[in-house]
Amino acid sequence: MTASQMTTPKRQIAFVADLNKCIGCQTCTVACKRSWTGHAGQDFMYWRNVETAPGQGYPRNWRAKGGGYVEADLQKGKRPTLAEYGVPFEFDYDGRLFQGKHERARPEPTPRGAPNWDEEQGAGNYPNNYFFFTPRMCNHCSRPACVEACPNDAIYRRPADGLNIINKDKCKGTGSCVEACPYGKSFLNPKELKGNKCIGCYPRIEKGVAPACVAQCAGRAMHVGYLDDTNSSVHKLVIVHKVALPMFPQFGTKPNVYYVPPALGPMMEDAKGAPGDQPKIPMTMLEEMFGKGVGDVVAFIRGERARKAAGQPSPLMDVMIGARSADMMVLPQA
Amino acid sequence: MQNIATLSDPSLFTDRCLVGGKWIAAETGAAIEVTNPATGEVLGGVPNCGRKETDEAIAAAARAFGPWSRRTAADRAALLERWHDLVLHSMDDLALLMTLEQGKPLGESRGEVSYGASFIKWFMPTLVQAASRSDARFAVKHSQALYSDIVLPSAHWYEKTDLNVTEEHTFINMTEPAIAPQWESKTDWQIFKLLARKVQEAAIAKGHTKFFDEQFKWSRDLATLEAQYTDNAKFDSDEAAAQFILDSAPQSKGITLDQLREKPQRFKGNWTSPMKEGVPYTPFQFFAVNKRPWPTLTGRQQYYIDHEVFFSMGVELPVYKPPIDADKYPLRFNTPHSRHAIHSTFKDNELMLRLQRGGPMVEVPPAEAEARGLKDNDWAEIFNDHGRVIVRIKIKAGEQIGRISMYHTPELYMDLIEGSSQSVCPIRITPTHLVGNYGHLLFRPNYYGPGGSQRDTRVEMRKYIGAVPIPL
Repeated sequence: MTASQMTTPKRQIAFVADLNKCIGCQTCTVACKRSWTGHAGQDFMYWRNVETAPGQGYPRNWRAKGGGYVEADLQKGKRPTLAEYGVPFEFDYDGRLFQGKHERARPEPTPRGAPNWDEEQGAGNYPNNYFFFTPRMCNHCSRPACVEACPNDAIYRRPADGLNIINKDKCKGTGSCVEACPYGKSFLNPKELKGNKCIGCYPRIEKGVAPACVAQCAGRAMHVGYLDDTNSSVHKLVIVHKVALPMFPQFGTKPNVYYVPPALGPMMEDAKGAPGDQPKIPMTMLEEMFGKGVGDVVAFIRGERARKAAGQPSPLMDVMIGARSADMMVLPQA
Repeated sequence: MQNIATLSDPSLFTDRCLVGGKWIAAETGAAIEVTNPATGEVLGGVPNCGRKETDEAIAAAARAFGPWSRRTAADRAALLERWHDLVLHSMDDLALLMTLEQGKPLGESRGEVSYGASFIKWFMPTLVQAASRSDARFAVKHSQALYSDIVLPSAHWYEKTDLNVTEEHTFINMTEPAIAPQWESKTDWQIFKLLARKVQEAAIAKGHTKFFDEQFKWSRDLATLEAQYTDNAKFDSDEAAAQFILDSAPQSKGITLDQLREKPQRFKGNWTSPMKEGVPYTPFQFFAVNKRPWPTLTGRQQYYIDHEVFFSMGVELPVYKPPIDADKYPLRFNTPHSRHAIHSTFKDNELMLRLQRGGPMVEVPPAEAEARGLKDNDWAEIFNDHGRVIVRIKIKAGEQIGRISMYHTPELYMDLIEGSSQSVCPIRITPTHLVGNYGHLLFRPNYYGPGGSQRDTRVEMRKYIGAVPIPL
């Protein structure tokens, strides 16, 4: 790694996913898949995916794969297997629908795992079961383990927007970034033997158009913008109201994808079905995912919603509601 | 003289019955003699079958009915055609057998074979027509398309300009093409326009241009059908047709496509209420506010039905009725609308299936799975008196004890071992459905009459231990 690769970019693009609004519809997953990962060697690859928490995630058990930093030291994590990504299966629709085959069009090979295998399974006993959806992508970290791990200096931080991009001319397919990324969001393309990962839809950003996962979000849960742009909703959520938090900050990579934690879910019910004052999602789980400060954030969001519901002004709620889509993706062209 | 020994295909002569694809004798071995009426000679015998063989024959036919129905009409017609050809091929032999048994002249027997075969032939085009009439749906990737002989490629939501309304809310919105119709797809309006053109051509070619439409009591002129359809090309385009519809209904008169492009527009009113700008819709204002009589027997909202059938069943007022088979079938079977599909549309989408488990699932609470020795992703047999479906299970903490849920209507070619969500959902009829024409009670399936039982079905579930299909 050279000094230039770790140079602080002039500006930083950030993403915010509001976990109170994500409905797990997978529109972003498919928008990304259709935009970027339809090429040879990419069928198992989802730069963007939405998974259920608690759950195994994608790649399976990525939280325990290792990588990232322990204090100053870069960690070498595991390289997920194809089974952990989920072996992509095919359907012979052509044979069944157009060539007179009588058998059902079954998935082949038989599915044993998939990016959203455990959708909505969650944990807890009915009626106090719980889960929430977590959209995930490359975090375009400010302290990117992938950049430091690459022996060929093939990953660089774009000065204009801080997106972390693989330079395929330099990439020699060592897979070091795959091992180093604690989020499982760097991939090795086995066909071209190159690293592949989210490019933040930079060709769209350069035209002032929001990335596909943001623009297509049916639940209007996604925000994108420059962190230093006071007009952008990401600035308001991350810097001003401080309600958007990085996921697993303990991995040490300083992510630029932030999450508004799930604060508005239902409360635990007693035997008669009456709601109490403890949320169904355990605070210990949120603290592990979003750090110790998440309890204060949750309380703040609940308070602001109560204000808004009572007809009082709440700048935070206005940003989270995002009455105009355009306000959730303020991206002035450089 | 001709006799059985002179048959050119001796296998046509048999003393057995065909049941379930096998030639069987009576279980008791008893037979009924068949004699030649001219000579008294015993030609052979037919099995003297009893109740058991009869039951077997009925059961075999019932078993065959499903697979037979699932063949396409063209496929069934082709089989009938082969049967027809084989009968004619063996006409001499069959006629000889009839003459030996019945004593009628050989020529008459031959005529009868030919006449009999003609029935088979008559059913072939009928079958194809029946399928074309009822099953010609305008979607390619759809179970129904597999049962159709003609499938027209229809443009999808994102490929056409069209109006979109539903009973479920008070707005009209529109679809607009994000891309041009793919491949040979056409919009609904263009498809019907071209159909009108073809009907017109065929009607002229066959000299059958006039016909009286019994349903609408209307003389139709098929020679100018396309011009009628488009009002002399005034409504050639999808846009013109959509605007015409808006202009022609009092509920939407004054709304323009441009307004709809900007945002959905509200109906001006419907049959129960006017609508006011900026005021949420409240139904039934014509009756509740304007005091127009309700379209019921008494002209009021009523729960009491003073009909003898209702009295005899004790339901003149609404009463709770416990489930009828709760002991045998302890689980409620819930078939909600799909999470990642609109009814069956998109249900077989590879991109979505590949994120999940590749096929339909039934969601089961942990306790109900454990009680039955079922693990996540196992195949389970779900059944009741009506039928069964064999489907993979997904264990889900959020499912209530005593209930299992399966998103409705997977495509029939998807990864189930047997059946579908509807296999265990009977459509039940009660005598009260049939009182007919009593005040507001008019027989109408799905409204007042037999309807779906999506929330009113009980099943039992067990681990499926039969053969599992192994993909190649």
